This record gives sequence, C-alpha cells and structure tokens, in this order.
Amino acid sequence: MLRLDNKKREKQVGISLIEVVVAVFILMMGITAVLSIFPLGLKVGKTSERATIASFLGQEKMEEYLSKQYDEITDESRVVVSDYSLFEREVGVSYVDPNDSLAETGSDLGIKKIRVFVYWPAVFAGSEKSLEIVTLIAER
Amino acid sequence: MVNKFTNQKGITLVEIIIAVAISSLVILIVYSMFLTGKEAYQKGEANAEVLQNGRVSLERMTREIRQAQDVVTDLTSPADQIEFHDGHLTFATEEDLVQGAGASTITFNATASAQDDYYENMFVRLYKGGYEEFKKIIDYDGSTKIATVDSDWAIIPDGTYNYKIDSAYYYIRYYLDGNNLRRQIKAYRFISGPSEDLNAFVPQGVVDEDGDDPDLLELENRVIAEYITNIEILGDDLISIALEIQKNQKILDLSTKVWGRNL
Repeated sequence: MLRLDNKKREKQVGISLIEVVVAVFILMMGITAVLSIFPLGLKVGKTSERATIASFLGQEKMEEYLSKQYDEITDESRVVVSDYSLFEREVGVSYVDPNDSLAETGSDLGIKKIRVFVYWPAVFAGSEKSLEIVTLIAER
Repeated sequence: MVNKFTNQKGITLVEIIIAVAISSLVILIVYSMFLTGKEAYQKGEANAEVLQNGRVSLERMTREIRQAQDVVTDLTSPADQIEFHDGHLTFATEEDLVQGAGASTITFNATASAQDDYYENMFVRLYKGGYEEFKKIIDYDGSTKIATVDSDWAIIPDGTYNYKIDSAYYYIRYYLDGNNLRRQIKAYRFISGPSEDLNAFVPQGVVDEDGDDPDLLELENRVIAEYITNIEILGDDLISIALEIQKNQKILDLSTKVWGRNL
C-alpha cells in the first residue's frame, strides 16, 4: 500500500547519520567530564573526615598528658595510633622560661611546653598532612 | 483511498528505527549520569551526616565530662552509657512565692540574682499543694527578675504558688536508644519515707534511714545525635570514648579521651 518516492527523498534536508554519531560522541565526552567531578567531591569530604579524626586523636593525646604528673611529662616518638593505621602521633616536650616571654630553655624552670603532632596522608596526591596542638603546664 | 498515500513525504521505518536507537542511547547515557549523580549525592550525604553526628556527640560529651563533679557509672569495664554529676552550672538555691507570671515567664523575688542569664539552663519547680511542674529556664533578665521557661505553663501561676530552684545535684546521662544518642538530665529526691522532701535534690547513691534509694526525676531527655551504632566508654579519671557511626554503607569510628578536671 505504501510506496516509497525516492526522487522526493533525494532533496530532503536533514541530519546525516554521521553527524548524529559525532554529536553523540561529543555529548558522551561532556558527560564523562561532568561525572568525573563526583568522585572529586567525595574525596573532599574524605579530607575533612580525616582532619576531624586527627583532631580528636590530637586532643586525646593532650588530655592524656594533662592527666599526668609534671615529672611524667616526657617526649614520645612518632608512632602509629592503634586502631587508626593511617594516623601517626608524636609528642615533643620542652622547658620554657616564664621570665623570658616563654622562650624555650634548656633548664627546668617549672613550666613545660607540650606539643602534640598528628600526621596523616592527604587524600589527594601523596603529600602528608599534620596538625599541632600546644599547651603549657606548670609544676604543682 | 490508496491514492492518498502515494504522494506522502515522510519518514521511513528504517529512519524511525535508527532515530529511536540513537535517542534511546542518548537517554540511556543521560539516565546513567543521573543515577551516578544520585549515588554520589547519597554517598556524600551519608559521609557528611556520619561525620557531623559523630563530631557533635564526641565534642559535647567530652566538654561536659571534663567539668563533671563525679562519675556515677562504673567504667572499669567498657560501658555503653555514662552518668555523671553536672559541673557546668553555678550552685543556686532560690525559693519564694511567685512574684508574677506570664504564659511562659515567671518573676522571682527581689533578692534573686541581678546578673542576666544567671539561672539559664537550671530547672524551676513550680508547686502548690499537691501540684508541681518543672520547667527549664532559657532566659533570665537580672534587672526585672523575669525568667523565661522553655514551654508554656500548664497553669499560669499566681501569687499563691511557690517556686524553687536547686541546681546543686543535676545528673547528666548519655545513652543509646536504638541508634539515637540521648542526653538525659536527672535529679534524685525522696518523695516518701523519713527523708521525704520534694523540694530538695540529693546526691545519687544516698539512702534514707530505712536504707531506701531516692526517687528518680527526669528533668529533660533529648536525642542529640543519630546513626550511632555503638558506644564504648572506659576509664577512671582519664575517660576514653569510642563511637561507631553508620549510615547506609558508611561506617566511621571516632574516639578520643577526656580527663575529668574535677574527678
């Protein structure tokens, strides 16, 4: 019943298959670019998660030190935190001079400076992030 | 009938099939992008939610335990809850007839503190005969002696009602209710027996002459965080708190320690 009229079709103005294929290809490239942003967003979230964990681990160590007797406050070398394999902690203890703007000194004048460091690998690239909490403690 | 179709300018079946194939390919790609976007959003939301809830609970608990007067819960082995004597509020005792009141306000007597917000976060007991009501003070004006409470009075009190504030023995308890972390404010008093006194809060653990424990009064109970699947509290003066927070597939472990300055 239906007859094709080829002469009419030759003059048709439209989009060729190749054009469509090219268009779809370009569209796909654009979409891939947009999609690649999502994991990036998740990684940024991960960065703040690690910073939060590190901040709690730093506070944890500081509270531990504050609960100690003055004499027991000594350096602690850099070690991996148990249960948190990505994080490492270090404590540096030095004497400060109360009469010299709290400048570091070699002798014990009754005040110690406690510095807690937390280190962890950055989510992006291979760099390392760190955090430092400092406080002073006087002999009682 | 047949002639009408012969001059038709239109689209062939093959063209339609190709068009449908290409457009469905495009739709499929767009849909998969939508799905990926949705998943990324849900994952990001779960991550943020888990982190936020964990951070808030841990910050809040450590802040309050640091000031605690005394820890009631036995923490020699890991506990899933902690109750302690609150050390944040000033110790205030106020007692008199109500000087005036509104729907959610009460006026204290002239000797009440002149300092603004002095009674904030304390609980006021309103009573007359066998009737009593506890409300939390959320605002206080030192010059007018007017305190605002957190909700409307059941009965707006007149000058025949008494009020009493006693902030010496508030106990705070953190515990898990399903996956919700709850913060409960409790007080103890003897509502019967030889030491009966509805107006005085007593320390947890005391007993009256008959050896009976005081009665528990719940002053407040609120959910302060969700998605907490596990909590472990351990330690004597140096108290360690570990939380496990989970939403969907995301699990986060957070832990810290706090040294109670008054313990």
